[in-house]
Amino acid sequence: MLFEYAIVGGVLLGIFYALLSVGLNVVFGAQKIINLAHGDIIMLGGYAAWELYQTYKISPIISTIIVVPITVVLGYILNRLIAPRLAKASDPEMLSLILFFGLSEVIEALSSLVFGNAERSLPVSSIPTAPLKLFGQAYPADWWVSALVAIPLLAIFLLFLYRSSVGLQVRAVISDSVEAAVAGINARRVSGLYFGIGFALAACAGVWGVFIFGGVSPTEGPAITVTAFAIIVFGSLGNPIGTLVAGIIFGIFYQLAQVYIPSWSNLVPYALVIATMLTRPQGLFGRRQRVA
Amino acid sequence: MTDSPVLLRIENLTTVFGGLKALSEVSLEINPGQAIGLVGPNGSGKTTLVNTVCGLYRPASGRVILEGTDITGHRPHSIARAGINRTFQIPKPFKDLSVYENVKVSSIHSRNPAPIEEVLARVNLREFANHPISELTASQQKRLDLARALALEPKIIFVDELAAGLTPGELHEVAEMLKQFQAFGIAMIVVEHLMGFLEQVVASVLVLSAGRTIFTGALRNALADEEVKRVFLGGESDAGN
Repeated sequence: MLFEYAIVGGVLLGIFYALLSVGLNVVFGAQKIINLAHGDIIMLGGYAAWELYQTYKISPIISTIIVVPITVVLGYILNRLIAPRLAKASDPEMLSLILFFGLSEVIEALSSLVFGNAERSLPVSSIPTAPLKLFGQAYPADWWVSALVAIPLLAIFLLFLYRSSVGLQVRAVISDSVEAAVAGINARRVSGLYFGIGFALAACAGVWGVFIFGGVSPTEGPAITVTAFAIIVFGSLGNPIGTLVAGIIFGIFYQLAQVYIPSWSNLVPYALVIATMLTRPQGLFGRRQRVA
Repeated sequence: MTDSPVLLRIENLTTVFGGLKALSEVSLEINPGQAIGLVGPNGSGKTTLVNTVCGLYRPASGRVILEGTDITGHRPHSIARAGINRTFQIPKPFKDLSVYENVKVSSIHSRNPAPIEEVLARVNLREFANHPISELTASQQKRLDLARALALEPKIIFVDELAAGLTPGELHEVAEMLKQFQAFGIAMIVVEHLMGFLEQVVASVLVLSAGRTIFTGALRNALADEEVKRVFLGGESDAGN
């Protein structure tokens, strides 16, 4: 019984973790950088949901929609500010790590000032539904509703990437930005948009993170970034589909650990990174030489 | 030169890398449907000229004028959309895209996009439309590079060392394709080392040495020019590629 609970719960949470991580992989694809502020963008999504519910009684489902355009624009502007500087840098990877580490610290400090250091949470009653009963077990409403919200979001993202004209241009820019520019694609604009979409996916995950993590606090960012990083490395850097599968596998492993060895469960992300690096450094869906 | 209006005029183009003058006051004019060979030893500045005209390098001085409009220093995508396209010495197709998608993505910003199948047929790749890039031979990848350039409905294509590594049969096939494109009014600047191939597709050449123009005129006259012979046979100091 416990095993079934861990598997079903793991799949539900895994879909959420896929949403939580895919934005980090998107930003990597757009700019070939690891966004160390990823967890902080998720945290901001959480605060947005909290504020919108506390002040206007707006449901988290609606908040998920509201945060998308705001974070796409914010991500796009940030990309346009940093991309030219990174392009001119002698060591763009190192500069980007420093830059996003700094951004993470700034977001954390500002969040503390604005929202205080105490953890903020939302009542489960803000989601108008009941626990899901399956195979004789009850799964919390936030688990399955977050999965239910994440599925169409991820589906729309994949349709955009693999079925739209802009998505085709995004994939060309990810493959080779110089060749893409010669093909008439405004590579800066396209990668800026994709970067913004990465931020939006993170913020959407943040809305539901308030429930899954039990609340939102200014210091939660780095730990979330580590989890998301573990998942995208496991699934393969630059491959969004890999992230989706890796997120679900991570969710199952995490739930199994929670059920059988709860005190060790927080080690799952680190164990996943180490195991991936030792056995399949290119990740589940990666080629030997990574092509983002 | 014919009486037709000049399509592309390059005026005294100079490109500098640090303290090195890789291209020094190079000028060139080309009309619609015309083909000019761009030759010179390794490091003479041929690819630098192509990269500068296409917006990948910013010139230190000089102008690039397309149909009367100054496009000097414009960004690569703007130049491509304006009608200047190119192939690469070593083709770098978008590896995660199919052959069809590689051409499709180039046609998105064409003002008058031709059907992708038609573009692929022009380079004999129609039957490979749904294949992944990894299944193409080197020769097919070069033709795909041409197809991508064609998909943008270019007025001029810089063809960068297309012949390198091709068999005699493939060379003939590619030469016929280039002549066909000229017949459609597309101008071409063909960067090439293989004189036999060049003779099939161009009548005139511009010869570069150490970033400077040392000869312009008919290809047969270039082969008899003393300075050209000295540069090709006697060696010289290179000035970047």
